[in-house]
Amino acid sequence: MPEITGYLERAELLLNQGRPKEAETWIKKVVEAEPENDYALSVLARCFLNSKQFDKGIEVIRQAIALDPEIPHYYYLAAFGYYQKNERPSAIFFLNKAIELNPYYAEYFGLLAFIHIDQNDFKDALDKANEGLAIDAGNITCLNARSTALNKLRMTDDAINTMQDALAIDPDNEFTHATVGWNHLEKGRHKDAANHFREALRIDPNYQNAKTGLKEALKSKIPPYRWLLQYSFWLRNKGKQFRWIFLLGIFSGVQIINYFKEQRSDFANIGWFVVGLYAIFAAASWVINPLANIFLLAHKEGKYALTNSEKWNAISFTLCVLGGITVLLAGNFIGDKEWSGDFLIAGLVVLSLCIPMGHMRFPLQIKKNTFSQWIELSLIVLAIITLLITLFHIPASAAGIIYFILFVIYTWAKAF
Amino acid sequence: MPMANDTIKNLLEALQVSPDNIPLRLHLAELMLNDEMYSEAGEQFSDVLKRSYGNLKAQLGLASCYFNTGKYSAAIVIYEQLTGKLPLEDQIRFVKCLIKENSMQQAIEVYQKILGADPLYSDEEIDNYLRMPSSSLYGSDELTEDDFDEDGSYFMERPKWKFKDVGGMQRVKDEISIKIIQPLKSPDLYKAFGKKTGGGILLYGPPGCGKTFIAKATAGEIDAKFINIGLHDILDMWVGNSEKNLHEIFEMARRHTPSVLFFDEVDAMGASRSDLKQSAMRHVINQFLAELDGVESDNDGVLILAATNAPWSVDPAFRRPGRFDRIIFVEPPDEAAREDIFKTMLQGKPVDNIDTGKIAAAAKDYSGADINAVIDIAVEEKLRESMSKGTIQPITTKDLLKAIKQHRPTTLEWFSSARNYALYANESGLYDDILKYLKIKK
Repeated sequence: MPEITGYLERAELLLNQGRPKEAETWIKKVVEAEPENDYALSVLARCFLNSKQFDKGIEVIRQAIALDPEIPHYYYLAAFGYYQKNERPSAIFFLNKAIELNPYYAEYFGLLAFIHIDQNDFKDALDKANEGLAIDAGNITCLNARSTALNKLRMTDDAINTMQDALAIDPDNEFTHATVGWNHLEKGRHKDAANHFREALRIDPNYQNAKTGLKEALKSKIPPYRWLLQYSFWLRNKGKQFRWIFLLGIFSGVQIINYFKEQRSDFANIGWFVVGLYAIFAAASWVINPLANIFLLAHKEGKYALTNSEKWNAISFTLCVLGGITVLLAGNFIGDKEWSGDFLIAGLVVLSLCIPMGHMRFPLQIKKNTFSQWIELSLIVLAIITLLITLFHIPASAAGIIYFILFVIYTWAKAF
Repeated sequence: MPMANDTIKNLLEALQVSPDNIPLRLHLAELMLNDEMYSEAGEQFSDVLKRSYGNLKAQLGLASCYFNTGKYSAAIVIYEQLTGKLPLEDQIRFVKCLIKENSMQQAIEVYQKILGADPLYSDEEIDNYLRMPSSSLYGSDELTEDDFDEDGSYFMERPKWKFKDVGGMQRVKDEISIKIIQPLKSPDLYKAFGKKTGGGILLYGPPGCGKTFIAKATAGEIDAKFINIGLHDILDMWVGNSEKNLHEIFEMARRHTPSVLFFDEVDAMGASRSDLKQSAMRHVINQFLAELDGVESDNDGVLILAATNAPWSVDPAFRRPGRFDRIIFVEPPDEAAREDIFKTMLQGKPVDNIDTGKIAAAAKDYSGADINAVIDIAVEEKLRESMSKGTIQPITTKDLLKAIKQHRPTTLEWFSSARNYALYANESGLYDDILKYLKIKK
């Protein structure tokens, strides 16, 4: 029996040290010895949740709830699991249950506020964060949620003050530093953002949210990337419906201007300008991320923040761009009209391949592929077939046509 | 027991004539209890209580029946009502019931009262639950060497291995040698150069890479006793006892110099205080720091080694000068060491012309424990094959290469976390060795 108590303490310490996998082995011994110990089950659930095994975590915490349905913290853990799985209605249901059992615990309101932020209900998020802070003025989760909501509602000064409060209460909180970092990034202050993400990583080097943030902050050193990032933040805050209408509106607008450009000569200059701007915007949204990854590959800090897949994206993107340009230039230098036409097709195919290559997941996996990954693989195969056919002088190949159709499907599928 | 049964029968008949005879019914119930007729005894005790409410003997007897039939919570209810009136025997049953019902804190309190009345009392069953094995150290003031190394009751041993038995790890061996072995062998030389001796060494690295083995070899190298301390040797449920255990262990090492005190998984005992919820553990950490400093006693002749997979979880106070001021990275074995490990582990097994060089090259990043697992996989496969063919099938190079493909090195997960610490939390260059191993230039 003392061993079991020791195992439980060890597991909890390991959890606090951010070592959920190791904690899992200890707490499993307790659960094996005492399968009806609901507290031990809740610790096991925390191990699963902290190691991103959300389904298992939810299953175990529901067992704990079945054993003792009066513990509000168990409902909170279940809500946290659903929140991480983006199953917000279930998360809200369990959080409300936790609040019903214990309405005086600020942390529950903090999580509820973050769920509202994810749903773009910033006003409700602010209300919930304020409710939590009325219970515990120093609750870090509520302060973070309040600051994020205020930032989204463009109440920047209040947001900054709230963050200063949170940092004054706990200057060594990685979560707060990461939140401050994202708030800065959203406002385009990439240097301040990077500093806060670095601080968050110093406190917890395995904090993935801060790692992603640092990567984005470093990429934001490139002005077009920064502008596109801010544009994507703005678009994300507007909700899904608005996003569809906005993107389709832009597309339709450009088509109309293009039509008028053809019909009326006085529209030509404006038309070309708008269409050109749109083309640059569309192309930039596709190439900016792999381009930024190339920048990070050469950056002394950034190269370690990239994942292996992102490194391969950057390398294969560069190879496709360089390869495509080389083939196009070679076709130009040859002078033979028949050959240069083939080189033009080959060059464009290689060049266009930089888009799927810059976004696909490496290493390539035949099993467990998603729809877009299958298209990416098909594009590579078709590109190779097109190249071979072209180089063997077989005109207007079916492969080339299929490649083009798939390419359009791919870009639209990825855009939404 | 024909005599007892006859008596019981006679008493039952007598009670039919005079059912209100309480002493007679009590006598019958006690006879039944002694005869392990617990449910019948329970009925009689209950009957007594109906007729004579609050009868102490009947209550104690009924509780005893409940205890013997596993109805611990019912027994606890009676014992709780009789607190202060319980004879020793029933107090012990009460403690056991509380243990069975997992009410440890209450069990400790009652047991402490028993010990308060009789300090020499001990009950093996209860001690097993409520006291850590090391707490029995307090039973005797004088600890002799025989207490420790002969029957293995405790944790002191005299390792036979020396550094030459450890494959690879040259850098680690050199560092340990300079830091703690040479000062013991040539104290005057160190004194002449004004070089401070003492302090401890913290070994860190992925699991299964030989941290414990090198610590034992260190003890073997200087012919010292080796005391391997785990968390369970220290932790005690009773407040203050963990600190006492720790102090006793240091005292024991001081009495048996030269000795090597080895703290395995030191991140558990020396956890960063910010990660700790319970204040009790903080006292253990403070005691640990005081013992390392040798505030009250001298640590001369006591070499202190510690190992951890998570140096970042160890409280920074442990890294101050005089404590674990030398931190050594124990990396996974290199190719030559892996080849040695394969050769050693395959000894005595049926093998067929194994190319250990090829296998060692294929097992990059594999720890000693991983190599053991690889061999296990190959052995299991061969056992199955041997059983189906009816003859012993030797292990081949191909079998081992196949097993390597099946077993992913456990060190990779460790390095994915360690890499982040080395990149983002390496202000004092603590993890430079990890960066060097991963060939990262910052």
